[in-house]
Amino acid sequence: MSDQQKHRVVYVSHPASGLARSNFPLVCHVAGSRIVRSLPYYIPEDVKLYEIKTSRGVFTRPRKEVQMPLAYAWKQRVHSGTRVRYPLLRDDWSPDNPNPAKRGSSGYSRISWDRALDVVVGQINRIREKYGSMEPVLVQADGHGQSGYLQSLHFWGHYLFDMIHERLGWGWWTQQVRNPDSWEGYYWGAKHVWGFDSTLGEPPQDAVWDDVLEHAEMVIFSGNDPEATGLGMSGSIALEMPKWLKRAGIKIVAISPDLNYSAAVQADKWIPLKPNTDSALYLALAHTWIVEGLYDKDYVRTHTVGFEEFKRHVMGKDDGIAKTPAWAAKITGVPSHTIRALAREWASKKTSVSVYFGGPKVRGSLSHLVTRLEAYVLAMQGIGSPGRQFLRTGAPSFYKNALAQVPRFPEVDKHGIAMNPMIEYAIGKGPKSPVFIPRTLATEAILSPSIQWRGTSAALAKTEDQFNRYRFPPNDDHPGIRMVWNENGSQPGSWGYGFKWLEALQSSKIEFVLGVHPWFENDIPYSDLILPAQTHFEHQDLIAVQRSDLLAMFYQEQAIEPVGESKSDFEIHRMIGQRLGLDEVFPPADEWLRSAYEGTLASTKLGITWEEFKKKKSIVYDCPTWDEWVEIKKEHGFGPHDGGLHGFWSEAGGLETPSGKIEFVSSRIAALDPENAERPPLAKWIAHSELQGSRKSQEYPLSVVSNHPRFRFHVQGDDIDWIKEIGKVRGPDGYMYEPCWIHPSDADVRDISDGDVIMVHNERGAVLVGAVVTERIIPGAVSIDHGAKIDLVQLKGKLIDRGGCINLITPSPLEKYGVGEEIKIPEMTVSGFLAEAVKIDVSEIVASTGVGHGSTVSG
Amino acid sequence: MTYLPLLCQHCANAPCIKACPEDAIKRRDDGLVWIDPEECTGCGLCEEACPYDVIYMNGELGIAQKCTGCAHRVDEGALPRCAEVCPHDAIVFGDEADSVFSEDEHGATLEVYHPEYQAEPRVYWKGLPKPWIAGTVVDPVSDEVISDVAITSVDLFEDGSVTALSDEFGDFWIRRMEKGRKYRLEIRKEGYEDFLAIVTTDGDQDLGNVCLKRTR
Ligand code: SF4
Ligand code: SF4
Repeated sequence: MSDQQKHRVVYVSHPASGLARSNFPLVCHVAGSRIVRSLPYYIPEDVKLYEIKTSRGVFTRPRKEVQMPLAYAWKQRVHSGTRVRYPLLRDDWSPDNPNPAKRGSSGYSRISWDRALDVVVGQINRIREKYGSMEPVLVQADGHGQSGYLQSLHFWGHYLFDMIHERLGWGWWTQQVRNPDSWEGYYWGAKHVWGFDSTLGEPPQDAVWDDVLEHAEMVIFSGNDPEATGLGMSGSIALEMPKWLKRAGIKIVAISPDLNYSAAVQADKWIPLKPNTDSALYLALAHTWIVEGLYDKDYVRTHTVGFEEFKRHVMGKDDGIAKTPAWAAKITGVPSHTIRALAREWASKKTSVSVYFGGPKVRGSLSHLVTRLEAYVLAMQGIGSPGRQFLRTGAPSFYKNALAQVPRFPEVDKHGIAMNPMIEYAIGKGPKSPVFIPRTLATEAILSPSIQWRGTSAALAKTEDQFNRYRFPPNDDHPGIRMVWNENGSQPGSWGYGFKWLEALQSSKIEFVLGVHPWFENDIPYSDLILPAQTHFEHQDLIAVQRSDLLAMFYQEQAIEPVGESKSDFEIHRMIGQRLGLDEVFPPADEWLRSAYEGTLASTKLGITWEEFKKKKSIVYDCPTWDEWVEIKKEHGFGPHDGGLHGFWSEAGGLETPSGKIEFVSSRIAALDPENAERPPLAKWIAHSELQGSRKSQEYPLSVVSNHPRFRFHVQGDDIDWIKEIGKVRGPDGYMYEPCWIHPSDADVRDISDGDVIMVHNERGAVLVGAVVTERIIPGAVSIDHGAKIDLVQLKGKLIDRGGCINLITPSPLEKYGVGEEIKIPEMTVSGFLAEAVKIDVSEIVASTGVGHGSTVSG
Repeated sequence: MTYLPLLCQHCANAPCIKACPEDAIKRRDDGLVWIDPEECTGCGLCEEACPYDVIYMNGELGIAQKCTGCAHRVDEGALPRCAEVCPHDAIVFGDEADSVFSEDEHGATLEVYHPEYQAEPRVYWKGLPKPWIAGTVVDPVSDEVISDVAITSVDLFEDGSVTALSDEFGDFWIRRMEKGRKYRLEIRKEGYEDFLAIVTTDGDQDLGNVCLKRTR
C-alpha cells in the first residue's frame, strides 16, 4: 500500500511566519490523531514559473519548496508536555485577591469552558463598573503566531475590544501597537533620508532582480542571513536568491560581527566588525571616496541635498575629527587597509547592498544612525543606477509600487490572495484606539507611568508621525493599565528587557492577566487564566501564501481532532463575543473564509467557487513569461533590465522627503526636532553607553550580538526535542543550553572551553548559555540568538534564566531618558549591548521551586 | 567553513555487520544496511565497531539504531527524507550507475570518506573538506593591501606547486591542499623583499596579515 492510501494527506500552513500571511504549506500525512509525516510542497508542473532572462543566464526557482527545519518538526509541539489542554485558572487568584506577586510561581487547576468564560466576562464587566471604560485593558495581540489566515491569528483581542467599543459603547481599550521590530533602524532612521514610508524605510523592490542579475558586480550582505532569517520567513526562495548571485558571477561580501550561516557558505569575503559600529565604517568609506574622488558627484548634485555639510563632517571640519579609515579601524575592528580596499571595490564595481530583516545592525542601540549613514553611502554611489540597488534576499513583506521583485502579474499581486483586514491592528497606519502604547513601552506603561514619547511606532505611519507627542496614561486621573490580555506570549523573549516585563506582570496594579495560547511558556505562566488555543493542525483555515516569490492559496483541512478542549484563537474570541452579545460581528469561521476567498481572482476571474476550492485545495498563480513581463514593465516605465530605484535615478525626485530628494541633512528633523542630540539632522557617529569604550564597558566588556534564530522562529519551537538536538549545547548536567559563540581569545582569558556552561550577565540580570568557542565571531563580542525559552532558576541566591533568553537583559528605551522625560525615540534594542561572560559550576544551579516555569498544573 | 552531514555510509564491507553477534544487521539487495530491531539485543558492539560513529544506542528500547536510508520510503518509490527535505539538494539519492554520480557530471570522480577504514562505503562525496592556506598581503608602510601578487606554494616532498593571486582585498586562498604536508610559501613582488615561509597543512592555515617589506 502506498503512503497516499494509508494516510490522509492534508495541507497545513507553514507554522511560524504569522500575521495572517503564510508561506507554502507542509504536505502532512495523517493517520488518526497521528501526524505521520510533514513533507515539502512541490509546485505542480502545469503552473508557469517565471524566468528572469539576462545576459548572464536565465534565473528561476525550483518547484520543490522547502521550509525551515522547525516547520517539519512543528508536529512535535502538538502533543508536547507544554501544551495547554484545558482552561486553567491560577490557584491563588480570586477576583478580590489576585495575589499578583505570585504570578509565575503558582499552580493551576483545570476549569470548564463555561466557568472560564464567566471569569473573562466577569473581569471585563468588573473593569467597566470600576473604571468606567475598557481603557485599563492592555491588549497584546500582534505576535507572529502560527500562520493561519483566520483561526490562529493574534489580532482578535483588538477586534473584540473594538467591537465592544463600537457596539456596546463601553469605551476604548489600550491598544498595544507593534513597533517596526525587525526594521527598527530603517524606520526611525533611513526614512528621514529617503522616505519609503510604505516599505518601512527600506527602498521598494520592484523588479529589482532583473537589474541586479543583469548589472551588479558585487553585493554586500550587511548582516544579512538568508539561511536563517530568510528561510524562516520566505522559505527556500531565500536560499535560491544568493545562488542566483553566485551563478551570475557576482561577488558576495559579508559585513557582520559573526560569520553567519549564509556568509559561511556563500560569501567570497567576510569582513568582521564590532557590533553596532557600522556607522563608523560607513563614515570611513565616505572619507576614502571624498579623498580619492571616487563617488558619483553628478548624482550627489542632482539627487541629494545637504551633502556639503556631510562632507564637512566626514573631513572633520565641524568637529576636528577626520573620519579616516584609521579612525574607524579603532572603533570597528576592521583594519584600515581593508576599509580602503572595500571603498575602492565598492566604487569601481557596481555594488548593491542586501539585507533581510534583522541582522545585528538594524536592531541595536541607535541603529537609526547606522541606517541613515548606510543610505548616505548608497547615495554617494548613485543608488538606483544599474547594478546599484538595495536588495532584499527573500520576499518583501511590504510593497510600495505595482511591480513585484520577480516577474508576476500585477493583477495577481493586487487581488490574487486574501489579506485579512485584521492585520491593520498590528501593521497599520496608526492605532485604532486613541488610547495606545508602543510595544516597546508596554513595561513602562505599567511600572512607571506617566510616560511621554514621540511617534505611534505603527508600522505604516507616515514619517511625520515620529514627531507627534503622545502620553500614557492619557490624563492624570486615569487608572492606567489594570488588566492584560495576552495573545502573544512573546514579550519577554522577542522584545527587550524581558525581566522587567515579568516584573510588570507581577505588579499589584494588575488585577487580571488573561493568556490565550497553545503552550505553557514564556510569559503565559504569568497569567491568571489561560485559555487553550490550538495548533493549526486542529482546525480548517485558508493559507494565504504571500511570504514567497509566488502567490498562492491553499485550503487547510482539519488534520487531527483538537488536543484536550483547545479552541482556535478565533473561536475563543468568538465565544467571548457571544457571551457579550456580539454574535453578529463574529460569524462562523467558514463564512469569514468564504467571503475572503470570494474577493480573490481565483473566484472572480478563474470562477472557482468556494466549494470547489475546498475540494481542489490549492491555487498557485501562473507567472508571466519574460516577454509578457517586459511588456508589463514598459507600462510602468521600466526597461527590461530596470528595477529597484531606477525611476528615482532617472528622474532625480519624487521621494517622500520634504525635498523629494535624498536628504543628507533631514529638513524634517531640522524643522521639527532640531535639538535631539540622539538623532541630529545630520547623522553622525555617536558614542554611547552600550558601546565598547564606554564607562560601562569596563565592567561589561563584551558586546552581545543577537540575531533571529536559525532553528527557532523568535521564541517559538524551543520545546521541540528534535530542534534542541541540533540547535543546543548539551551541558555537563545533560541540560540543553542555548549556544553562545565566543572567540577563542575571549574564552581563553575567562578560562572558558567549548561546551562549558557560562553566565552572560549585565546590570539587568543574567542568563546561562553553552559556550561554542569559535572564530566565527569577532573578538570582543558574543553571539546568542534571541528568544530562547525562559527557564528561571536560582544561582547563588539570584534568580537567573537557565534557558538562555538573552532578551531578558537587553536595554530599555527608558534607560536613555530620565524619569518623566520625553522618550524621543521609543526604539527597540535587542542586539549590540554590553555584558560579561563567566564560567559557572552547574552543580550550583538550583531549579527554583515555584518560579514561573516550574509551575504545576493539576486536573 | 564546511558542513559535513554524516550519515550511515551503507558500507559494502560493513564492520558493524561483522561485529553483530546476533546477525541483526542486514544488507538489502539494493545495498541499504539496516538493523532489525526484532533481533537486536542492544549489546552495543556495532556502535563500537562502526568507524563512522553513526550508530546510536536507544536506551529506552534497548536497541541500536541508525539511518536506514529510509528503506520504507524507498520501497514506495519516494526519496529518503534527508534528500527530499534538503533545500540545497546537497544530498542526492539514487543508483550508483545513475549519471548524477558520474565523473562527467562533476568533472572529477566522487570520493569516499575515510577510504582507509576499508569499509567500502557507498556514500559518495563531492568537495570533501581539504586544508587551505590563506592570508592577506599587506604593505605596512603605506597601510594598503597588495593585490595581484602571486603566492606560490611548493610541496617540499612531492613534485608540484600551486600559484594563486591575491585579490582586491589583498586576500589569497589556496584551497584543496593535501593534509599533513609541508609546503614552502613564496610571495614575490617587485619592490618588495621575497616572503618565504614553511607551512604544514595539519589543518587549515590562516596566516592573517602577511606584511611585505619594501626593498631599499
Ligand atoms: S557506516 Fe557504520 S553503521 Fe553504516 S554500514 Fe558502515 S559500519 Fe555499519
Ligand atoms: S534519510 Fe532517514 S534514515 Fe537517512 S539520515 Fe535521514 S532520517 Fe536517517
